[in-house]
Amino acid sequence: MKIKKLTAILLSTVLCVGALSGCGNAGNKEGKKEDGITIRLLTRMAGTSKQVEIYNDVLDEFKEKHPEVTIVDDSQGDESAFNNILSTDIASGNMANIFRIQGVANLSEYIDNGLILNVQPYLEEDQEWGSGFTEGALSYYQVPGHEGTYAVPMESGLIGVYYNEKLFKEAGIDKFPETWSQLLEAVKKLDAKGVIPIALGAQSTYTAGHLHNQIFYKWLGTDAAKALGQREMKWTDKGVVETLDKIKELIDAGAFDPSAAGITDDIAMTQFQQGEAAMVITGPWNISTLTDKEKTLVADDVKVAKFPYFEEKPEFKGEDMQTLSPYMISGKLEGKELELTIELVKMLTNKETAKRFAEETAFLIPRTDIELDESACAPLFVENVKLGATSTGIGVDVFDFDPLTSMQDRTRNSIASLFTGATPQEAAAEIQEEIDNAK
Amino acid sequence: MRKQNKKNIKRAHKKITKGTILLYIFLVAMTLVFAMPMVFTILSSFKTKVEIFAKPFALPDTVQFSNYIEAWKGANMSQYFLNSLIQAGSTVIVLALVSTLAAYALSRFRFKGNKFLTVFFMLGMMVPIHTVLVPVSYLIGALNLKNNIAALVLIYVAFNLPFSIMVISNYMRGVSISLEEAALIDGASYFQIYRHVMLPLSMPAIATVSIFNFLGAWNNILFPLLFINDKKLKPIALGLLNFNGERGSEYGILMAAIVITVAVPLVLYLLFQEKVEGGLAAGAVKE
Amino acid sequence: MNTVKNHKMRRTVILFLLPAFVIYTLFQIIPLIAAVYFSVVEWNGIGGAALDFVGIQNYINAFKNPQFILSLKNMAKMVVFSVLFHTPIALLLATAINTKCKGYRAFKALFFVPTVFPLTAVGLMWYFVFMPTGSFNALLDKIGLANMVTPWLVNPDTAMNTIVFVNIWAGIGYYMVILLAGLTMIPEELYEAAAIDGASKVKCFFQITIPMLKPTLSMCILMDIIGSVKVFDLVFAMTQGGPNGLTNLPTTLMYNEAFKYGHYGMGSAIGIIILVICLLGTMISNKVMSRQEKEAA
Repeated sequence: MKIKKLTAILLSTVLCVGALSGCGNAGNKEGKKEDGITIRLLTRMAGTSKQVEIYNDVLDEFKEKHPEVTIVDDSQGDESAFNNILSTDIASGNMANIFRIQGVANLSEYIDNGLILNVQPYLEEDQEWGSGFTEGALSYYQVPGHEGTYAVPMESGLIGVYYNEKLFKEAGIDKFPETWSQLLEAVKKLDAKGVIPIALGAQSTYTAGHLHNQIFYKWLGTDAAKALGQREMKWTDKGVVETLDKIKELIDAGAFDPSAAGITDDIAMTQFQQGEAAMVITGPWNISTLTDKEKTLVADDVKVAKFPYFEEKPEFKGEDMQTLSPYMISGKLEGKELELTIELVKMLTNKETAKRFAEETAFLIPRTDIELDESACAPLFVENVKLGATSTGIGVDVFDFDPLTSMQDRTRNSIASLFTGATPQEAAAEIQEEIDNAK
Repeated sequence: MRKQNKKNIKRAHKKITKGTILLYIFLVAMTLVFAMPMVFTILSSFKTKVEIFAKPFALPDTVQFSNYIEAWKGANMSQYFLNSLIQAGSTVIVLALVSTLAAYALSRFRFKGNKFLTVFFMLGMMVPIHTVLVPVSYLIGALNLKNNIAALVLIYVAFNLPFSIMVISNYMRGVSISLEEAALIDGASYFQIYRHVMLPLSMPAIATVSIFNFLGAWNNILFPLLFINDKKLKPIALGLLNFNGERGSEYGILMAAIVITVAVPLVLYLLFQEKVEGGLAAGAVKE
Repeated sequence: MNTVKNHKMRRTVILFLLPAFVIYTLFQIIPLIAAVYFSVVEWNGIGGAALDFVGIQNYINAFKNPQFILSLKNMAKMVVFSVLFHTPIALLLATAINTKCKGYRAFKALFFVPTVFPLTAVGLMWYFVFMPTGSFNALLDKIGLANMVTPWLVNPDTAMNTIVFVNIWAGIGYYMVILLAGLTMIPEELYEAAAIDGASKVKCFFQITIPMLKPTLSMCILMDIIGSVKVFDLVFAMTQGGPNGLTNLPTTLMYNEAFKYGHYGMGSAIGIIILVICLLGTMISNKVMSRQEKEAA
């Protein structure tokens, strides 16, 4: 009797827990529906921006076409939340159908473990879609030591200097500085005028990292980043330390808000948007904000230019930092599921979608066949595209070529520490130490 | 006699007035330190972004309820709030059930292995969460329990079991044995005794433990951080952090979100002041 | 006590214990054992990839890692300053509130309430107070201390101290309540007798209150040591260990190593080290306490 009752209690506990788990699983589990296919996406396309709207439109279109398929979108706007999911996915071997991994150096290990699909055959098979991508973008995802291409590029664009022309004129600068020494001069003039020359929020350490990328490519070229990653160069080498020293030079010249170390990217951007700062280094993803008069008071005065080059290094004038983001496809898919996933990726990156992205939100998918209606685009975006087309060498982040996963944080943290008083030598030593410690 | 008493009181009174000033100076000084961030947060939650920076300590020009509306709806706090209620609530219920059953067995039955099991269950109190994070996340991955609320609840249960069992079984040991004996003579089963005698009598201990467990689950971020990625399932403390990551510069709304996050523990505390203080003090051993 | 005599009764007891045993074993004991295992293997974080046995290499790497040494130093700072401030201030507050002066309930509630808040919320609250354009700098500016204005959580000289301060702030109420409970246990007669002897309040405090509270005080300090070792949420919400790892504690470093960089072996090793520190702290404090009790007896 009592046993029965106890069993009943236990059972109901289990059931209650089971019910909970059912609710927890609702949107998640693949293979639950007998023949239904679930496509899970893990991208950074989340939030309320126009880009996300278009992305969602494409997903909706796909759902309409394939009502039997369940779409689960795990995409995260927040970077750490995103990284969290990605690392647990990798750890469990349960990758999303469509995902993205930043950087290229550690792709090799993932490919070896069969996590990432080689998309080369699919690019070749569907010429209309596959041949439209720019060569440079595709080759970025051709991983040394592996046959094929391991991602479909979905975003690109020059990371440039967006500047407030009016503030420059008021400070007596007629032309945006083309060289480093001109830049330093401009900084001094702007500083004397009481405006912040460059808006930068080093608490979001990537902003410091992006500044360094620019300097690094103009001083040593984009190939040097690969050399660092392959350990042919060291962070403590004279040339590399010099790139860090250039940041110090800017800081000492008063290029940044004195509290730059303690502010975030948002706040720095606000300084620029409200006309308190004359320059900001950012990518095309912000163009729609910068041209929106409601958000950006100075929208009419915003222009874009390439980061200045060094007079003593003319050979690297065309070496630019560009952003490049991929859609990767899980290497564990097969059959119908694989087919449908590829179809979705195609829909997300085809010519028509690319045109929509470009014209409506200034978001550039690296395709050569976009029939841009220039009058429908923001002039800033057109200018950005033109500038980007002149790059002779492209690099994303310097650490992208580094096989150590911790280098993203390590380099950015150490570079940001320049803003809190560290010397270039200290920062370089700190980064190199991380490499040396990892055997 | 009466005269002397009066004198005493008078003297005491005199003495107090002198000490009282010092006492209140101390208390008021501490009040400033304690209230400052809370007052600032609440004030800011009713202000526009511009106001927050221009006049950080002034009252808002016009009270911006819109911050709360935006936080509640736009920033998804309502969903997080509900999630936390469900997660913390289920944790409390499952824990109360599981721990009272175990506590009853451990406190009222003499059997081989009782001592061992008591120590075994206490062991968990020594284990910091961080020690087991990697294995737990591995386990979650291997069993495919990502975004599984039941798994999250069971983990909370596992981590709060030692404390709950300890407090409740200590309490049950103090319950008079005569009631149990009377019930046995009446032919009640042990389960009936548990259900009709021990459970009602242990309510004070269960309540104390439950409040503690509820707060623990409400405030936890580490486990959800590891494997609750679905926005629709995240608990409030984690949702707040994510909101800060995504829209950290919308200060007014963020402050409103903070107020919403602390509202439940605050209300709980105000309602059950003694119990909460007692529960946390009892949890002393655990922390 | 019901002595378990027959098979049926044994089954009852087992059924009573089973749910707790299963949940507890599955989610706490097995992970604990696995934690030791994970700390002696290397795993690249890719599901299905091999786990290579590396012995104590992960521990050696941890101690060779300057970041870890720094986090230990930060932890030591956290522990020392928390212990130094928590209990004494809490004792003063408890004594003040125990006078039952006017409004003592309100004071008690105010000082206690931060302890029931999620530490993430507490961290964010203070983050906005201490950020460069935050209210604390605005306040300093207003009262003529503009030269002290600094980005508190970014300046390497102040970042860790600021977090330690917030940890102290968030914990005082907790110890206050425990000590308050201890204070009410002290027999009133002791004070009355002392008053007759003409002892001053201050003298009473040192000669009656503190000695009588000794066991409670030691317990507070023990809890404080272990609690400070385990701080995570505050740092995670306020600085995420930054700037440049300067405010990492072993807990946050463990999290970053394992879940950000995929160094699961190193992360597990740090997790075990945290466990050992907690165990050592408990053992030492227990020893000290039992010695005290013996002396008292």
